Amino acid sequence: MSTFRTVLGFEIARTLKKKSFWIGALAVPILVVAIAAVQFLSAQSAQDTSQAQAEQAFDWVYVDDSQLIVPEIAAAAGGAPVDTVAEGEASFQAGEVAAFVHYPADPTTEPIVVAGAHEGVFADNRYGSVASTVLSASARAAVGSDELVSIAQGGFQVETTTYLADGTVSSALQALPVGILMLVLFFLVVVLLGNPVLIATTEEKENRVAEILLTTAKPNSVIAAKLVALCVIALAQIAVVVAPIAIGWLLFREQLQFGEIDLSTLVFEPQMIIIGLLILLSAAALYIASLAAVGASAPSAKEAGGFSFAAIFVPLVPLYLIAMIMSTPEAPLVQFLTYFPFTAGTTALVRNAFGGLELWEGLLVVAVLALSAVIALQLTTRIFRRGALQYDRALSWREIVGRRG
Amino acid sequence: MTTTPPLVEVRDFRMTFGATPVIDRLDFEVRAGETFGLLGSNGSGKTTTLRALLGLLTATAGTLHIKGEPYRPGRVRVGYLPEERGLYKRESVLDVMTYFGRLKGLRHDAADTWSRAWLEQMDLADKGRTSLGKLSGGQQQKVQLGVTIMDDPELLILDEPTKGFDPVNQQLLMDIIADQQAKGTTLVLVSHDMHQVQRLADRALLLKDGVARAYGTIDDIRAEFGGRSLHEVFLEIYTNASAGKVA
Repeated sequence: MSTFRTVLGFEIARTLKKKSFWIGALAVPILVVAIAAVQFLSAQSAQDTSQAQAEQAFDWVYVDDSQLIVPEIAAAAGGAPVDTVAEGEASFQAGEVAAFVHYPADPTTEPIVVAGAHEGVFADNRYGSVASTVLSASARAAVGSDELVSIAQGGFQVETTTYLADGTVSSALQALPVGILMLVLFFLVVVLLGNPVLIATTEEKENRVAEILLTTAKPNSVIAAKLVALCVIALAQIAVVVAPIAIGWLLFREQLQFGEIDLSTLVFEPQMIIIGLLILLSAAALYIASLAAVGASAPSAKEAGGFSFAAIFVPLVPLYLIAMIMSTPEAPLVQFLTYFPFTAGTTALVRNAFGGLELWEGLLVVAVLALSAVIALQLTTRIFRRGALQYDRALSWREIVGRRG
Repeated sequence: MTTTPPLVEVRDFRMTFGATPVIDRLDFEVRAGETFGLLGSNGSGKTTTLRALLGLLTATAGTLHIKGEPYRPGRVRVGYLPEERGLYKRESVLDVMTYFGRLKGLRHDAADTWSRAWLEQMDLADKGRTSLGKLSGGQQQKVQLGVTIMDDPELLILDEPTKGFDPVNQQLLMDIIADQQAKGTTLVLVSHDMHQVQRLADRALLLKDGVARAYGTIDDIRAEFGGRSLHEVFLEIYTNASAGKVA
């Protein structure tokens, strides 16, 4: 335990002391803050400009072939009717009005044609906007009921409740975001830890320190501590990225147009969360241990880094079949992906999120993943110990599985 | 009369890499407090024997014990200077030394104090916070030697210790060896510098192609070969296929 703590402390401290770590970790939040600041200033400016232009009414003429426009509504917006298109165009071209609008006989199939004086890309939007607003307001007036208009525009809510076979209410839909969050966390582990884990043990080889290290400390303690240190560092990175976003959401969500997230509708289903977390942890453990094994067999960081793409790609493979995983979890291919260790994490997390994973299936997946992770960790330790003495080349498969070493 | 059990005991040690035999039926022991020379040319099996003794390789057959048991880190204080040597380059000198001190079982304060004293002694006191990789090769060697002996080892194993060392550090190494001998530390010196071994070692084992060809006190080995120097014995064994004996 002492060796584990010593290696853990050393690995975390040496990473936190690196400038490159802080540059990498802070780059994303700084970028997020910078983009948010620009968006905030831009939105503020656009709002001011829009308000100023809205207050600045303009004169326009129109021809109404649709017979829908209410003259009073158009007049209130600065519009005056003319009899012919030619008359309207002439009035516009002569500069007597700022715009001419031609409402067609059937606005649902033909476009409303607007001609306006150019005053900048942003300001030019007001012509189309006024023409549309006048038509909408006139249509509402024709219906004579704001309620009917609202219904026609989809302004109503639907509350659906589905029931399980035993008559209890299913909350799968409300629990979905929590399940998806676990999938996202798994992919964060994949993206953040892929390359660091691959090269976790290569420095000892490149600097010829492995032989001294392995005669001073137990290899399993060294490997375990190194991998745990990487997880701690990844968590720190996630915290550094998430913290400014969370603070921004709490303090500036209106200005930054984050939108409202109604957390009260979320449902936290204990079984789904517990099984999801177990799958997440065991899948992450297997992923990290397997990559460490690949990295330990390589003689240098450069060669180990060559596996980065595959390391990130493999866990993503089941996403190509996500429709099948969600709709037909009993399909043989989905069953295979659910229990094959290297695809089980993603597949089972998707099925768990969408309520398609029975309790016994989830427990079986966790058992498969945990067992595979233990085997992978032992293999990593073995490869690290054997590979430590091979400074210039990768270990062969025979050397990995053979009795010697 | 009581006899002290050997600190290192190797019995019927055999090692094959694939189908290739590397060590064949090797028997030897290293007694507590003595300086033992493990001799042979490149590829004779010296480093393989050490790696098997320290648990880095698993023997095909036989037993390799230190203090009566297979070696496990933490059970015996072993200082090991391997032939392929190095330390973490990007970390500060003090951090690296303290780290290895902690791994060797020292408390943090003790490891830090020892490391500072060593750097002071090596005229490197101002380099404690410098990255190891920024030191000169000779300075790095001094740090490496400090890491090797920092936990006051019971058994000090030096594999080709002067390899790559500049003359100043070679002398430093000789001083360390003399100091450790004076303290009663057991030393295993792996080398093909016969003059050095003849001068420093009490007993020796000479390997050729993984087979023991001479074993005993330096005087006994020389006597067996007509009183010739160890260097001449080495040349005789390596040029005459039938020279030497099985230990």
